[in-house]
Amino acid sequence: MNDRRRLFSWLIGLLTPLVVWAGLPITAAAYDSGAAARYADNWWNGINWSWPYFSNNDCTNFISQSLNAGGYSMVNVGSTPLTDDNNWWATWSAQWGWTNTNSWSVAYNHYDFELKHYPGGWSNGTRAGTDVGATVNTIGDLYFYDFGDGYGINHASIEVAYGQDPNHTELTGDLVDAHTSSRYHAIWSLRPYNAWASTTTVYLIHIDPANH
Amino acid sequence: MQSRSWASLVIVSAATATASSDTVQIQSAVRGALTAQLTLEMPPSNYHGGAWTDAQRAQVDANIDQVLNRFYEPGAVRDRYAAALHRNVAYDANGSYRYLGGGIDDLRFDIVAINGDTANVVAVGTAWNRQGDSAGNVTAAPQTVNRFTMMLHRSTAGWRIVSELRDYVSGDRP
Repeated sequence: MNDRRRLFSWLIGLLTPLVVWAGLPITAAAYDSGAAARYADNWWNGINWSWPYFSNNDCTNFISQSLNAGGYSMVNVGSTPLTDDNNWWATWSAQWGWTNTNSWSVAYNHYDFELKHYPGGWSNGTRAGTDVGATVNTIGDLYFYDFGDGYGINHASIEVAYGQDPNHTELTGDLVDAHTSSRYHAIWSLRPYNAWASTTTVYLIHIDPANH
Repeated sequence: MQSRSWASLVIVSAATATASSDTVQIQSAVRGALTAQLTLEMPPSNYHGGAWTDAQRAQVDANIDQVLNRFYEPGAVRDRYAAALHRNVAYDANGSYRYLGGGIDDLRFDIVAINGDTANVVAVGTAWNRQGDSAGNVTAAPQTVNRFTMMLHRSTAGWRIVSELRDYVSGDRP
């Protein structure tokens, strides 16, 4: 298995300069947060079968797809171990199906990836689970949730707009889309949807626009 | 033979009573801890709207620590709940939001296994809260069914929780 992945990485390294020489664009110039948000808005309540799907646990896979749709390229594709949070990728092969790093599909590992990766993301601090006030995050940024359930950070969402939560119109602020529970333009802390808001902490990550 | 039988019966009854007493205490500690997590954020009884006074906030903050200490051993589990609750209270104190209440209903104990001074518990219950605007009108009422897996330790202060995991079974999941 590892030999195959090393071969795959070698092929990518060999082919990439050839593609560049041919003038084919392989990466966006910068992270397009608007494109990431549009992807999230398109797929908040659906499954894009061009990607892996994790039933009952799809939140991080969803934000990874959104980031990639915004031009945030995968990092160290094919490298192992899958638990190394310096890497972020998901690939499909006819032989193995989908293979992905933990950082692609597990909330804490993606949080860790953003902090490890350069330019990656940087922390915009933590907020209370009952907080709904304006944040310093912007469209295309990420929120990670520790519900106080003993599992640490285990949920993630992506900011897509600033406005009114359609299900709780008394709340106006930074809005997110998410999977696992399908959320469209929900207030960022998810307070009105969270029976355990009292024990929840939200971690804010800003995605550097230099990611491409 | 008859006196030995009676003695055996007394010994078994005493042991059973002790186990039952421990079970009751453990269940009470678990129920108390979960209820505390869902109610300690409430403003004090003398709060009638607007920003909290410093005294009101100090009262609630002190109560958070006092009540958590009753149900949790000192350590990471207690500290994570304390940190989250204090952070929430700090936000709530601006008066724009009111945590109206919460609780745990239909708590069912599937496992209470006691081994000396250690107990392992698995319980299922419905957690809920009521969220309101500054006037106290209910704006949200999420609820969820969770499975709680806990370990408790018997100390001189009684049975207290040393580890706790919460999993979703059904209902609202953020």
